[in-house]
Amino acid sequence: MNNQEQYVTITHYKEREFYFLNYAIQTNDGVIPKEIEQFHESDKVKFIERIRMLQSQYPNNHIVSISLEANQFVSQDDDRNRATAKVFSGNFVTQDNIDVGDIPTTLYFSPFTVLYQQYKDLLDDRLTLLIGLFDRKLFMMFATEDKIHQSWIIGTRGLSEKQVAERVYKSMQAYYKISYSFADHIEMLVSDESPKLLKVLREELSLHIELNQNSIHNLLHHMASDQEIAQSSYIKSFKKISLLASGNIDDVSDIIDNSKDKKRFRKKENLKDIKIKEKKRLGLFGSIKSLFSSSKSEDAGSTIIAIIPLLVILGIGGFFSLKNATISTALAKKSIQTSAHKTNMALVKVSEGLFKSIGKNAEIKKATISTEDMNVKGIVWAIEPLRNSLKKINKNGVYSIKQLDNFMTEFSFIVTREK
Amino acid sequence: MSRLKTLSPSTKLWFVLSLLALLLWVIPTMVSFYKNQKLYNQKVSTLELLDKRENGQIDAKTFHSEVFKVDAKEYFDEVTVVSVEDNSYEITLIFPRESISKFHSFLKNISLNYKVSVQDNIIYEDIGTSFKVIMTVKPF
Repeated sequence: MNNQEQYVTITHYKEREFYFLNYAIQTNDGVIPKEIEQFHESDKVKFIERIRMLQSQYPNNHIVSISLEANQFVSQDDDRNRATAKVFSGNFVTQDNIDVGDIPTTLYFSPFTVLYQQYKDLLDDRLTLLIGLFDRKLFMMFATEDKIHQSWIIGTRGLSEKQVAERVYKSMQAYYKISYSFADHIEMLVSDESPKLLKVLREELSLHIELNQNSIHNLLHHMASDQEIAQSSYIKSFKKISLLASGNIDDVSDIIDNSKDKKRFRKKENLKDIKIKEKKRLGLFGSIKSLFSSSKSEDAGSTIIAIIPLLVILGIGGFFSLKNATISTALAKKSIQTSAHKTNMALVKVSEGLFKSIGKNAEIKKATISTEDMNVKGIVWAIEPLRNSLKKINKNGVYSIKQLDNFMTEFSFIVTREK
Repeated sequence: MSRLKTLSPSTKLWFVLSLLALLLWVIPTMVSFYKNQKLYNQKVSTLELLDKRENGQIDAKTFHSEVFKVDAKEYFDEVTVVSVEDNSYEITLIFPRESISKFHSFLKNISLNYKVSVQDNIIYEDIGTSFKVIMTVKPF
């Protein structure tokens, strides 16, 4: 059997900053999954190229993905203005739009649809709570065999197992308040390994919870394995699913036998059994950074974290700005005070020099002094001693005398600023 | 580096803004603060060296005309303080001729006691046995 005839389902989804890719050969006997490949979102081009390559390698294919958006809900109406997918008769899952970007996708399922497909055979007239854990979100659905009564999505990021269990319990209480019905049976499908969560849920809810664990890839391969199930896709695909004729099963068996690392699809499978082909190993720095790295749904969180350094910096900057403004003002005042004190001392020195020179030789009538100028007038009794004294203050000062009518002598001493 | 590339544009923008704020604002402000603090301490030390008062406080009082008048009347016979232009005050002191040294002491310490600077111009007038001194001070 060649690649042209094989029906292959290529599954992909994004969790945090990684794209996960897998493909499986579908047979009437089950699916033969290959190794899961992992691409960092920075390698998106390579990731898409890989899908294209698989497409060209296996022309009979469906590219299957899952919507992990939190804005999905189950209703009884087929809303034509939004993206809807039929879960089963009279029940539709709805979200605002389909956003798969430029990644090739031909079938796109809701976790609610996957959940229903997983448990539809178990549903009866008892109210059953179906819980699916996908991408750290709990997709909860209260269902009976004929109807999905209510749906909820609870984010679990950053919550402890106990907090998650409490929220599940509160959801059950909330549903009881609106419907007076309490789910006495819980089924849970987890796409991740979380035995602790299961244990805590059992303890908190005091109910027996049936657990199924399966990888998203396996669930999607199953969803695309049959035309009837595949019709539950958000994307209404016209490409019909055509599996191998039953006569070719032997050929398929040969393929399986000849391939050592190919494993049969098991409905209940532990994730440990699936090897992830890691492109890169994260170092310590990478591990730390991964705490802050984000998928689109976590962008808001990472942005908030990114604002924290800015807030810290603004806080420190604001603190030092205030301190700097205060010290600048104090420094300016201290500079003025120092300068004023020096001027005062210079004035005192000039004044003391003048009065010392005057002594008993004369009497000041009016004097105007500054650190550089001086204009003194008075009555002199000892003309020459006064001249000598004043010349000691400033040799360039102009000393003059004038005889008065009352037989007294007036003196003046003028010092002007040197220009 | 690949992780860095995967950060959302808004996250990168916040980080760049943080870095810019740190380099262009916080660090220069911190450097300026510590520089000013050092200069301030130097100024205080200079003033302490220049201060010859006994038990004087380096932190001068804010100038208030009425308070100043009360204080100055302890040393001089008459004190008047008149507000003039340029937010300044003209101070007139009258004291006996022989108390000129008291005035010199007062003038020497006036900027240490009050937050004022004295204009570089003092007028002495003879009024009988006393001096009238006129000077202008400006609070800071």
